[in-house]
This record gives sequence, C-alpha cells and structure tokens, in this order.
Amino acid sequence: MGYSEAKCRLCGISFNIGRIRKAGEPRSDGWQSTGDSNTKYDEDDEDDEDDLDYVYESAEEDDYEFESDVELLGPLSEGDADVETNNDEDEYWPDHIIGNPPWGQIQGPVPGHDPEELLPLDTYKGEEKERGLHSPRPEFMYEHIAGPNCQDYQGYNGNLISVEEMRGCNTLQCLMWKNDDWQAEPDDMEFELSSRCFLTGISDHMPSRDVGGLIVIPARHGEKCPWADDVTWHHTLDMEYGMPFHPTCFDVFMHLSKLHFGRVDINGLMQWYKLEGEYEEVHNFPRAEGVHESGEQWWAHSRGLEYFAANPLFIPHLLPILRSAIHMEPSFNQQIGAFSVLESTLTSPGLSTDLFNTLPQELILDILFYLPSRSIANLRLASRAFRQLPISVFRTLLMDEMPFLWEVYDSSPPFYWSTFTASTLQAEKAARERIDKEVSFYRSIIEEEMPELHEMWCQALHQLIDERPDPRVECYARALKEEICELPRENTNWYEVYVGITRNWANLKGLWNRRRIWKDVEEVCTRIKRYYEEGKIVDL
Amino acid sequence: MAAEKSSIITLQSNDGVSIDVDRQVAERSMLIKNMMEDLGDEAISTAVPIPNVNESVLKKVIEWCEHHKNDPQPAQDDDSDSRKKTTDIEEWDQKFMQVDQEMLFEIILASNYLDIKPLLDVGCKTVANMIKGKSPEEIRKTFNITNDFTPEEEEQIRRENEWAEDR
Repeated sequence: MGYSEAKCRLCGISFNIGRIRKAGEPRSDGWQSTGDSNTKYDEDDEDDEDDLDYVYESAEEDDYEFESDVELLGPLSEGDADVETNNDEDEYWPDHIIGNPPWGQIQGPVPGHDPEELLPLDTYKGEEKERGLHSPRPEFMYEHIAGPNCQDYQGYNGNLISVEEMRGCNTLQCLMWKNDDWQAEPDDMEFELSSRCFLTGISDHMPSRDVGGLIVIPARHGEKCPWADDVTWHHTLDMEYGMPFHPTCFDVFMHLSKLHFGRVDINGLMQWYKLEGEYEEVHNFPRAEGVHESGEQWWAHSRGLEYFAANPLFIPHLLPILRSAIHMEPSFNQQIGAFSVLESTLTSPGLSTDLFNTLPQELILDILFYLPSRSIANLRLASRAFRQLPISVFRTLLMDEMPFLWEVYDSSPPFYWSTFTASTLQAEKAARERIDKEVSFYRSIIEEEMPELHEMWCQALHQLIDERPDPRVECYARALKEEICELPRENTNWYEVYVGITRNWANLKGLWNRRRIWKDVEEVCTRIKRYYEEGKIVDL
Repeated sequence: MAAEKSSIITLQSNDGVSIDVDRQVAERSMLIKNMMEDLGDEAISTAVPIPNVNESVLKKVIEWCEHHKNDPQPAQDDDSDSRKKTTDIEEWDQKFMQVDQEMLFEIILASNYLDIKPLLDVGCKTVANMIKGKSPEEIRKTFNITNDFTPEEEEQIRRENEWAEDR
C-alpha cells in the first residue's frame, strides 16, 4: 500500500510532525518524524549548543514512493541571499539536493542559500558513512537551519513555532474495546472502569501503515502493540481496532462530553468511531482549512499552519495572561468597572434623548447578555449608557465567544495522560533497566563476598528504588501546580482576560489549535448525540 | 380550588385606572403571585396598586400575560444556559413588540418591576436585535441618540474596545 499515516481521529492531524530549528537553538530542537523513520538530534546535546555531534536515525529517506504536488524539495530556502560559490565544490551540488536529500542536510552552500541558514556538520558517526547516505566529503555537509522565510514541507519552521509550544505534538494514545478477560488496574480512570473500552499506553511515534508495529508504553492491560487506525479498513475486525488520538485532544473531548452528556462518554465515542470508520467518512469529516490538504501522504508542514502542532492544553503565553488577571485584594469584586472612566463622564453633559439612560444597570446588563462583543463595542461608541461596564459582563462574553477557554468555567484537572510524553516514560524505563542491571551485578558480588550484609543491602536497595520519583506523578503534579490556571469566579478580572487574549492572539498558537480541535470534537459530540437519538449508538 | 384560581382581581395603574384581570393571567407576574399568596383573600377584595406602571403599559403587559397564561414557568438561569442563548423570538411576540420605542422600554421596565421574566427576555432580545450588526452611527440613528462624545472620549472608547477586535 506504500506509505500512509493514521492520524488523530479527533483532530485530523498527523502524529509525525517535524521541526527545523532556527539559528542559535540546540540540536535537540530540530527533528524529523515520519512513519517510516525518525531523524533526531542527540538529546544529550540539549545544553550544549556548540556540540555538533550528529545522530542520524533515518532509514531510506530518499526512497520516497510518492511524489505529491507538495514540494518535497525540503531544504531550499526562499531567501534571496546571494552566496558566493566555490567552483571546486560544484560537483557536489544540485543533483543530490534537487532529488530528495536526507532531511535537514544539504551539501552546500548552494547558490541562493543564505549562509546563515546552514551549519556545517563536521562530525559524523562511522555507521552513517557506511550506509552510504552521505557525501564522501562530509566536510561539505550542512544542516539546514530555518531562516525566517524558509518553506520546508518536512518540518515546521523554528522561527514560527517554539519547541515549548509543540510539546507532545507527536504523542498518541488509543481507545480500545475491552476483551472478556479484561481486569481493572490501579491507574484506570473512573470512566474506564464504568465503560466497555479502555485507554492504552502512549507512544511518540506512529509508524506508516505499511510498516506497522506501533508500540505504546506502558503496556496497559497487556496491550503493547495496539492496532491503531483512524480508518477501520476491515469491518470483520472492527472490535480489534484502536482509535488513535492525541491525549491533548482527548482532554478536549472530556470537556465537551461532560457538557453534552454529563459524563466522559467513551462508549459513545467508540461507537461513533466504528460507525464512521470508512475512508470517505474519515476523509470528508469537516476540518479546518489545510488539515485534509496537509495529510495526503507524508505530512506537509505548510507555512502558516504551524498552529496545527501547538499543544492546545499547555500554552506558554496564555498562563501569564490568566495569572495576571487574578486579583485577591479585598476591594476587588465583579461589579467594579472594566474601564478607567471618570464618574462625571457617565452621564450626558446636556439634555439627553437616549432611552437607554432610563434603564437601570441591571436591565442594561440584561440587554448586553444577548449581544456579541462587536455589537457591545459599537454600542459603547453610540450611547453613554454603556460607557462603563462591570467586569462580570466579560465573563459571559468569554463563555459565549470562547467556550474552548474552559479555564473560565471548568475547574477539572487536565487529562492525566496529556501531562507527559512517551519519551519521558521510555527514559525512566531505560534508567530502571540500567539500575536493575547494575543491581544484579552488585548483588552477586555482595552475595558471594559479603553474605552477612546481603539482606541489609537488599532492604536498603529496595527502599532506594521505591523512593525513586515516578516521572508520571511528577509531571502530573507539575501540570496541576504550574501549568494549569483555574480562574476564580469572584477574583478574576474577566476584561483583563479577554483583552489579554485579543492583544496577544498572535502568540497563542496553542489556543488557535484548541479552538480548532474544540470545533471538531463539538461536531463529534453532535453526531454521537444524533446517533443516540436514531438508536445507532446505544448505552452499553 | 379551581374556582379560586380563576377568580378576578383588580390592578390599579399609577394613573389611577382599575383593570380587572383573571388571577391566573395576573400571576404570570411573580410579584403579584407572591402578593396573592401572602395576602390571600384580602388581595382579591381590594385593588392591587401597581405604582410604577401606567394604564397603557399595564394593559399591554396584561395582553402579553393573557396570551401566555398557560406557558410553563421559566426555569432558573445558570451558567450552562449561556451556551444555548438565542435572540430568536416567536412570531406572536415579535408582532406584540412592534410598538414605538418608548413603549418598548416601558414594557421592559414594567416586566422587570412586575417580575415577568419571559416578557423581560422578549423585550431585551427585541432591543438586542435592533442593535446587532449595526455600526455606532446606525445604532444612534435607530434609537435617536445624539452623539455627545468629545473626540477624545471617542478615541478613548476605541482603545478600550480592543477586546472586541477580530481574532
């Protein structure tokens, strides 16, 4: 079938998102992810920007079976910088580049390339050379660094979205039907216990359908390799499929499901997944502009659509806005005016024909209840009766116009599985394996050489291992403490929240994405509701 | 008991006019309903003064109550209603609200005083629909408002209106 990707069934975005780092960022801030391979820079380099030790993990990157109308010509910049070329290197230039070079590397510099967008890759690992992927003259290999105007469909431009904003963009999880011998486990969520399906572990890499082999961590309920697909290709195996989604999208579903059904209805969600599993249904599901177009085969990282990869829950620039709008001073209350207006300017200077002046404040607010922000703003320019507004008005507006900003009205904690990535769990697993290995080595020595100390040593060791912090617990606690902001109803200046969001909208890509996902999941919930009414979805 | 419910009570407007109304109709007003429950038979035998409402407005309000006498009592609002709010108005009410603006505002004030929430909602929705989609100048024209803002004030309001800019 060739390369093809299963995408998030809730939001339609790929789990294979890449990023091209910008100048000055560490190696680990650039990566490629495709369903047939991953290219990453050594995580250990994170704190050492000068260390150019390059790790290339890709398989046959240049074996593309598909040439879409998307320009796969990756590393060529749209920059106009004139680069002086060295004629001695001519033989190494365009042929290789105009084909499909390994991501992030070019033999350069080439004409038209801004030299500041290239970093020399001066160190190679022996095995990379052996694969024959590189020029025999590695001193001419460069990593493509994203310039402000670059368009490279193999990764989002680092100038346009930060690593922090993209956190968790490749993390996936599945919902699966329980089998007959399913047993509850201590970390099951309440809605799993009371339904017919359960959550798998998570993964940071979705393999292409033709490669297969998705592995999740932990192997919850024994499920290590779920068969995850947004399309249910074989109806006889409907109950075997796992529905893949970003854990952050599932968090959005949890909010909306509670609003629509009063509970996290995963039975309804899985039945919808089964009912609308045909390729055409998945492909025709209404999405934001650019979603279907980006996902023909390899994900096309189009300029301007970076927000598709922005974490919709943990939004770096949103937190300061929300936090600064909280006022704990005793004099603060919801009836104080949003604007700095002199009392004397609230009434007309002369005789007024304005009927709104005859209405008490409570009736003014009753009328405003039915008006959107734009109309209220225009009304403020038309009538002095609306010159000052209590900040409580803006809470209503936020709820109407940004229902996806649940910090306003819902104090639910974030979805547990959205607060860490699979790589965090893998790192911990590897660390524990290393410890086990060392322990077993020392155990045999102590047992042999100091048998009288063996028992005491084992006890001390168990205590140490037990006290080792669990990264899942730590990440979740940190999310609760530092990353989620519950807005107290009586102590929040809702005008400051609203104006802060409008003023900083350009920097809130995670919120753009949350709005997009909210719309998609709202549609999912509407369909589930309709299927319940039609009897196509039933209470299980 | 049913006979008691259908008894007639007398309301007296602030310009001294007495109007006989079926009790069930009058009790669309939560103010009157509570008064009836508190005063019992005494309220039936004497005229109930409505000091804030004149005859023409009171008659108009009674007309609305008559038409809606069998409607269920509205539920209390809460946060969740905010997601479902609409400015749709049923056809009869739309026609009912085709009055001059002074009367419209008087109906809003009277329904607020008499605590007739559904009528208040219809009044507010009617006004909101007259505002929606209009520029400041068009709003002023619709409601016959003289622009008494100084240019500095206008500039200040525009700055404050930053929250409403398109995103």
